[in-house]
Amino acid sequence: MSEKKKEKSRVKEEPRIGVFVCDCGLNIAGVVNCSEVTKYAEKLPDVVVAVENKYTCADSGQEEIKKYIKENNLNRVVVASCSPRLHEPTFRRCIESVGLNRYLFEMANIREHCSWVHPHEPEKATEKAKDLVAMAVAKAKHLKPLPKIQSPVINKALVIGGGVAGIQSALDLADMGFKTYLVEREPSIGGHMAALDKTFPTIDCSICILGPKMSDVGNHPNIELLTYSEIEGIEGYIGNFSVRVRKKARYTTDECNGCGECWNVCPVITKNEYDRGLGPRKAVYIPFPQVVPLIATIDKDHCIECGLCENVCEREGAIDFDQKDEFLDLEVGTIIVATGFSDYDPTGEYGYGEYENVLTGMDFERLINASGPTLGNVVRKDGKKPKSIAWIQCVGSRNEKNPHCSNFCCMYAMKEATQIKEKYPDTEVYIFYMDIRAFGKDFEEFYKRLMKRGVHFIRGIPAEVKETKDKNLKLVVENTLLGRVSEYEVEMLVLSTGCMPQEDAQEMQRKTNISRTADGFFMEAHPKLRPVDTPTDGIFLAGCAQSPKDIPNSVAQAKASAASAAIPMIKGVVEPDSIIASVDPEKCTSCGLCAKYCPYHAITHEKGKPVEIIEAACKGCGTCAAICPVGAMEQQGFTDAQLMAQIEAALKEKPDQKILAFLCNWCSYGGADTAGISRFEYPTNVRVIRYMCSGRASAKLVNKAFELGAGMVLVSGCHIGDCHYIDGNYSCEDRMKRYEKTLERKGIDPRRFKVEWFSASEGGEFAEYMHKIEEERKKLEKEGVLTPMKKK
Amino acid sequence: MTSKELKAIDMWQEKVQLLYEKDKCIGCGICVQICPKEALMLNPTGASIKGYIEEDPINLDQEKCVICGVCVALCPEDAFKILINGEERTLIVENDGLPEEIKFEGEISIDQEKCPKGCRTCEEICKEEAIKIDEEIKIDEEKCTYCGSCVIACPSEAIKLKRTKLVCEETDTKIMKRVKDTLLGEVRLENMLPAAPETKENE
Repeated sequence: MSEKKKEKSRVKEEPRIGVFVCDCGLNIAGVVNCSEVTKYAEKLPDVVVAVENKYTCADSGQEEIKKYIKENNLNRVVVASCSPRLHEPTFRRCIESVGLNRYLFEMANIREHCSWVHPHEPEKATEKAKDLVAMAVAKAKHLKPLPKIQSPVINKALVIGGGVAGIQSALDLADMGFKTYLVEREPSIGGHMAALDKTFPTIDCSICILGPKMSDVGNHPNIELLTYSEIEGIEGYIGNFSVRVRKKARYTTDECNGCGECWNVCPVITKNEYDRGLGPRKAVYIPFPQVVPLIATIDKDHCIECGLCENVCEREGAIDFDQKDEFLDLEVGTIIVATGFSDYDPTGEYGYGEYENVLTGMDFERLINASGPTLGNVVRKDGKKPKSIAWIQCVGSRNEKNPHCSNFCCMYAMKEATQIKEKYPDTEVYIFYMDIRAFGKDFEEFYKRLMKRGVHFIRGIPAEVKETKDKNLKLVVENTLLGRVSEYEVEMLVLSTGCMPQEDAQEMQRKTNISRTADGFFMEAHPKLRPVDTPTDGIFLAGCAQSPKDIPNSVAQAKASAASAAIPMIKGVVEPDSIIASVDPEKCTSCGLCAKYCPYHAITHEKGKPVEIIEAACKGCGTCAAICPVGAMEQQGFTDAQLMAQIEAALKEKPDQKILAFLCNWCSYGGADTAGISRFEYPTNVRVIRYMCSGRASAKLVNKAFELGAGMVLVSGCHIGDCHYIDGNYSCEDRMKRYEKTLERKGIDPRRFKVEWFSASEGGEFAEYMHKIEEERKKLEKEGVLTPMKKK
Repeated sequence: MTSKELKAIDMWQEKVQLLYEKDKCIGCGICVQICPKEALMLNPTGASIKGYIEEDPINLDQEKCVICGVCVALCPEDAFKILINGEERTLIVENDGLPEEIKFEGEISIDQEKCPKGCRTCEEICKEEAIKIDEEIKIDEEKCTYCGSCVIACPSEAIKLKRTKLVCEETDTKIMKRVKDTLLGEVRLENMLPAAPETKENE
């Protein structure tokens, strides 16, 4: 018998389900009684065999699955272990390798959703684990094999952000032979690194090492550099993204050769943002001498259109005041997000913005830079050389509001102190710190060398800074090593400000459909094993957009994401999930609702004929299945029959005591996973049904839950505006609002029905909300209103 | 005479300031009319110069002003100046965007009927002493510089003034053209008031 035939015959047979319960060492078995769960699973209908493994995902565990499939002729597999967001692909590959269709697999999440969130209630956790297994088994019974889908990958890449990370990613991809678009919103690439003076721990000149890379980008035949440009929108999926870029009018053209005649005559002086406002530029300008591309930009906010620049320009057509924003549509296979960070703004702290000789670390970089506003002379606002300078560490980091460590401030402060000691050896230098974190290669040695140069390291963060008559700064600080409060007076104060997410990170998150962690930085697919991937296939991260990091780490991550982005482009095809929509033409009444609501226009509707699905365009959100009034639409892998079976299993016992939560794979289910990873405990009576998108939530499913007597039902998805399927959650919200109004009529107290949104990072919020609605459920229980809905 | 700092761009070692001397200002509104950023606004000039109100004849919107120096170059009374690091400089003149001195030729006439008699604002406001009021208003065209301050200050639109020609060494720049297009022709108070907000019909 051929493999295919074998597969078909297996499925036609009665379900033969194998259940594998994972101990995950003590991660699960430390709380849940896994042997009891295994014994329970054995007795469930259609289960042929149930096995307990120490680590199901390990080779030995996978071998066991394969062995049992063969020996027991299994045709469905359930693994009760961790989140399907982590290991579903692993186990699908495992069963596929012994000839079972990969979609004949289901997972019960007894780790993130059970043992990790109920460590103090082992018995209840075990009961919950049994339910979760029963739910998975019930769904597994209805699983059907699905055909593989293949879709081609466009072999072009997009890199968003032209700092050192974006530059490195673009160069690597271009060197591999892929056409790469590099989009940067500022007039030049270079990012923060281009504004630094020297780099630690080697004290080499920043622009001297970055400059050549920048010009490589400008000259690379495979790189199309789009500066002064912003991402308008991104649509599509791995292999096939459509990206709209706005090329902002800079009122100059490629004819410009950056000769500088124009800015010499321009009459308008303003602050140069590149110099952190410490030095001037003109309204027509290049922000710094080494810009790539070497093209002037006219800042229309400051330009008065006097025409002097035009008159003096010798290149015809180089200046064009009639230029308009242009839109470019790019087709790319993969995307790297290297959008960097923003400097923490300490205005109002330690006198910054009020006392004239208080600077940030970035300000200081410009002051000590030979091409900066003072040509490298470190002077105070009044022009005098400071005889003493102090640095305060952790400004804007490691506090209640921003708990994260900004990673590079200890080192840059010590680097700046080293430079001062080299340039002006007589200067007294103080560094006020909480801990010195010198963890990188040659960092600790650097720290030791600086201590030998007589820099005063004082453990303690000043409580108060006051300006004296001479514009010096008086600091009051408790030296926590000596336990003594002392006063220091210095002539200049530098705040080691940290690394914050870009101010518009949320907008970029929306455009790229990737998630952010609680600190606001973009979230990697897995903190250890997939540190450059995002949960959205085909989109990768590099540099400080993901978390604060120094230059070598940014470059390393940039190279890693370039390599990762290249993989699907080299393969040429990707195999997206086959969990797409299917239509039963017999049932379809050709009402066209599904076609109207499909976020991807993947359904064609001709009046009088059953609708048709464009398989390549369908992304499997399930909105059509939720919307179809006659049940002609199904989302494969999440069919009504499958989800109903899960609901029934979840509510088999004591339904009124339970909270049934419908969670979307990308955000709210991810949020529940995060609650698990962070060990945020919440009540044990929550039972989760996973769908890919809240667009799949239908009145039919919620009705089912209430008919069975669910105490509380929660429908949840990504925050409105953040949907991974464009607008699936909008249609969910709409539908659920209408549904809510029908509850009273059906004899259900509307307080039993909740619609709430969580992002994948909101583990704490998720747990807190579960506590809240459990309190409410208990209250309603006392009121005696948790009765089942009467069937029609 | 004291000058007031209307706006400053304060950098670490460099400073650009726009200064204004109220006592020199005649409320002609030329600066308001020509400002490329529409950063200047007119107050009731007659009342201000006569000291009836505290406000200066003009106001500056610091957000809009870029200290380009066009007002400095055009003001007939040198009421504005720019200091760059303490030194008086006007880059738009230094770089030959506008001539150092601009004067006007023109025509001026009075509608004696409209004059309410007795208010004497025009007479008081004219720095050139070109206006005398006895039985009726008399204008000494020899003295008149066609600045337009009398037109702006007159409460009853009794004075008509038209600038017909620039007397200066013209430069070949867009801003020079703008000066001609904006300042030549009849001086009207409406031209110096903020434009009505754009409506859909205007688009």
